[in-house]
Order: sequence, then C-alpha cells, then structure tokens
Amino acid sequence: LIEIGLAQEKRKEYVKQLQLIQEVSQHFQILLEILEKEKEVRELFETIPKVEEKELYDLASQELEEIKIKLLKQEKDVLVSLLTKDSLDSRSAFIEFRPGTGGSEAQLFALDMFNMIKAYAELKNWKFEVIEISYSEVGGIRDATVMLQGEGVFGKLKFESGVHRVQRVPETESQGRVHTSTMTLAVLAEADEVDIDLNEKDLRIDVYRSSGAGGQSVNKTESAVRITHLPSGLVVAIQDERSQHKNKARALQILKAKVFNLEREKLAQERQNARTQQIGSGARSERIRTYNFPQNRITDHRIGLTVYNLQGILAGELDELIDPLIEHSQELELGKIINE
Amino acid sequence: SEPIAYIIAKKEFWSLTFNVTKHTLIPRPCSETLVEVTLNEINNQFHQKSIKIVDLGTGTGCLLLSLIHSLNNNCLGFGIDQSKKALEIATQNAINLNLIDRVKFIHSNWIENLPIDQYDIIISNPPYIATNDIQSLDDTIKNFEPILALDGGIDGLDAYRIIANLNPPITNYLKENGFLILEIGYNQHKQVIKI
Repeated sequence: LIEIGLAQEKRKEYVKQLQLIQEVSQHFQILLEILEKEKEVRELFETIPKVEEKELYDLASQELEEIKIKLLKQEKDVLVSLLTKDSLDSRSAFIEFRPGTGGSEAQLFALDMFNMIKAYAELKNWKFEVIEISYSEVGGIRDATVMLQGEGVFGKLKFESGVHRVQRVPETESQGRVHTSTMTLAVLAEADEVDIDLNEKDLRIDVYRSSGAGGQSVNKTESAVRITHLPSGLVVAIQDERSQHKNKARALQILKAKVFNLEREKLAQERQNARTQQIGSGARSERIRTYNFPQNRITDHRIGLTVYNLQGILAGELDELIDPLIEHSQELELGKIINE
Repeated sequence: SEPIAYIIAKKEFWSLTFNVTKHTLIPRPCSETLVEVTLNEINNQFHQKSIKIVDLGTGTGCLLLSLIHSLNNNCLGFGIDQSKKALEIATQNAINLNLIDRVKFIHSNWIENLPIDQYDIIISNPPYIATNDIQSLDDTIKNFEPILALDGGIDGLDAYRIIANLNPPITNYLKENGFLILEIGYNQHKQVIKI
C-alpha cells in the first residue's frame, strides 16, 4: 500500500514537472516565432531604399522597433517561466494589523492600512473576512485579524509584511506639526495538513468557562477561545460573537499558519546566510514603507521606489507598489540562476 | 437591554446559524459541550451507523440539528417540545440547514407523543434554574427569554425528576447500549445522579 502511495506521489511530481516544461516551451515557441518575424521584416527593411521610399522605410523601421520590444519582453517571459514558482503564492492568507509606536495616531493609521487591504481585496474580487477586530476609543483599531481568500492572494500580499510608517499631521494636532507613527502588518500563508500537522498534545486549548453558575443563567456571548502551541509559545486568542465551535476552528487555522510561517522564516534565515539576494530582510520588524501625506507620496525602502498616488493607493490601487516589487523579486531570482 | 440575538433574530451555534425568537431559549456556547460529548460517544460506540437521536425540549433545535449536521445521512433526529411556537422555529432552522428530511419535530409533553421505538441517543437541556433564582438573573435573560425554558421548580431539578419517573420509563426508549445525555446546572451533579 505504501508503494502505491509513493508511486502516486511520484506521478503527481511528474505531472507537475511536465506542466512546467510545457509552459516554458510554450513561451520559448512564441520567442522563436517573434525571432522569425524579426528576420522577415529585417530582410525586407534592408531592401527598401531609404530616400526614394521614405514612407515605407519609416513604416518598416517602426515595425522593427516594435518587434524588438516584443522580443525583449518575450525573452523575459521565457526566463521567468524557468523560475521555480513559490508554491505558496497561490494560497489564501491571514493578515494581522497592529498599531506600533504613536498612540492613537498609530491606531488610526492601522485602520487606514486595514481599509487599504480591504479595498484592494475588493478590486481583486477576493473574499475579505474579518476574524477579529477591536476598535479603540478614537476610532482606530487596537488589532485586527482578517482572512483573505482567493487565488494568488499570498503571492500578491507577501511583500506587505513589515512595519509601515506614516508621516502626517494627526487630526488631534492643533499646531499643524507632522508626526511619525507606525503599524505592523503580518501576512501568513494559509497552511494545510500537508504543511503542518499540529499534534494535539502540543496544544493547550483554553475555552471560556463561567466561574460559578453558567449555562442557562448566562446569555451574554462568552465564546472566547485561546490556543497555545506549547513548543513554540505561539498563542492565538479569539473572542467574538461567533460560536465557540467556529472560534476554535478559526483559532486553529491561524495557529497552523503561524507555526508554518515560523518554520519557513527559520529556514529562510538559515538559507539567508548562504545567499544574500532577497527583497528586504523579511524580518517582522523591518521598516518597509513610508507614507508621507503632506507630499502625497509613498516610498518603498526595499527597492527605493517612490510613487505620488497616496490617496489612490490607500483606496486600493496597491498594484502600483506590488507589481514593481514582484518584478524586482523575479529579477533577483533570475540573477541568481544566471550566476550559478 | 434586549439580547442581541433576539434583535437580529439569529445566533450562531456549532458554526451554524440558527433563527431565534422570544419563544426559544438563546443557544448557549457551553451547550456545545453537549454536542461534543455526544459526537464523541457516537464515534466511540456506534461507529457512525445509522443513529436515531431524540432531543427533549428542542427549542431552536440547535442541539439536535448540530448533531444531525455532523453525522452521516442515515442518522435521524426527533425534536420534542411542548411549545408549538418553538417547534415552528426549529422547523425553519431545519429547512435552512437542509436537514428537514432527516428530522421530525413533535409537539409533545415529554415522551407523550414520541413514537414508541428504541433510540440510540436521547439528549436534553431541560430547564434547571431554581424558581427563586430566576429573579436574580440578568435582565437580558429574565425579561426576555422564555421562563418555561429556564424554570426547574423549587430546587431547579423538577425536569430531571420527570425524566427519571416517566411512564413508560425512559429506558424503554433506549437501545441496550444507548445513552441519555443531559445538560445540568452548576452544582447539580450529585443530585442529578441520585435522581
């Protein structure tokens, strides 16, 4: 039986490899076609007398330019298709929002980031589910956990992990001085049973129990759940209007994702010592972006990118920042491959 | 201070959503323990064959429907209540959860109208608060929830006495390896066992 299982696993691997090879060869095929076309146009181009048939000459010249551009892009596509895809990119993810330094301003900024991700999720047609949120008196958030479900969520949002910094005049500021505060965003890829198998013995599950007469004599929702993963010390607590059953299930999901994420980070740290190329350090405490309101700009410090569309991005146009990050990450990967 | 559950007319229990009205007790999170325990017994003893479950005082049907929802399609549920209004709610919940073809709701005073048969499991969350204690309950409970679902008589144990002294006895309705699973109140453990 074990042999059949192994054979099935191998078969799955072969199918995966085959798909990859097919993809690469498809891109390569297109590349060959473009090269063919280029050859044709160039041969034609070289026969056109420049002065006598200026119009035709210019037309052919322009077409050649366009083909060159297509060629460059296609070459890149071929190379990118050779990259090992991060298999986690396609997954759904949990996102945690936490204010950093800056008191109520930080809490308000954390809410801005929460809304930014929500707006982005809407644009992408992803399901945005609030698992837990607690608001502060000033209307900001003390912390929030959401789950984003959809194809490719983690691949897009993984670069959002880290410390985001805001520079602006707080609402409460009477003298118009610019303050700086921060918030931390953590993106965790959803883990499944194959990635992580949490042993029940490693878990301590605390469920709310009334002290004294509970049951029928209490009808306020007390369905809080707290799960502690003893080996790592990670804790997830959820208290919310839902049923205890649901809260426990969600808490386990999030804990799995956290433990999984922790192990991946450890592995990455170890590998980091061997290779130096990677976008940012990936450390939870890394300051990755500054949002400057007076100047309407956002700067991503990892790739030195500055864009002047702060309101648009806060309203969900995050791709403006994410696409360059993905591209940069791909270039680093390609660089690694070429250097080897 | 009307309970939120009554305002929005819904309450989540066992990850499922149930309609509630002032004619039904609001499902309590700790009652999920009863569902958990029952499922464990079923898994240990019955190995998911076709099970028949009876719920005495079904109210919203939350206990019964949570169980049936978690079990295979051959398992059937019978929900009993003396309140017709509660049974209406339970029926609607069964429809909403697509379980209406596996449960039957019966208007009955305890086992009076329960079809004579040998069932695998009988569960109940009967009223168990002592009459005098009801006044000291929170306003959100005593002013809004059905007292009938809470009042267990002078010492809160009337329901358990009734169950223990039914005619024909409750054991007639249980298979030999069947279970009676009850939710009880704080500190009632020893007395209920005696009864």
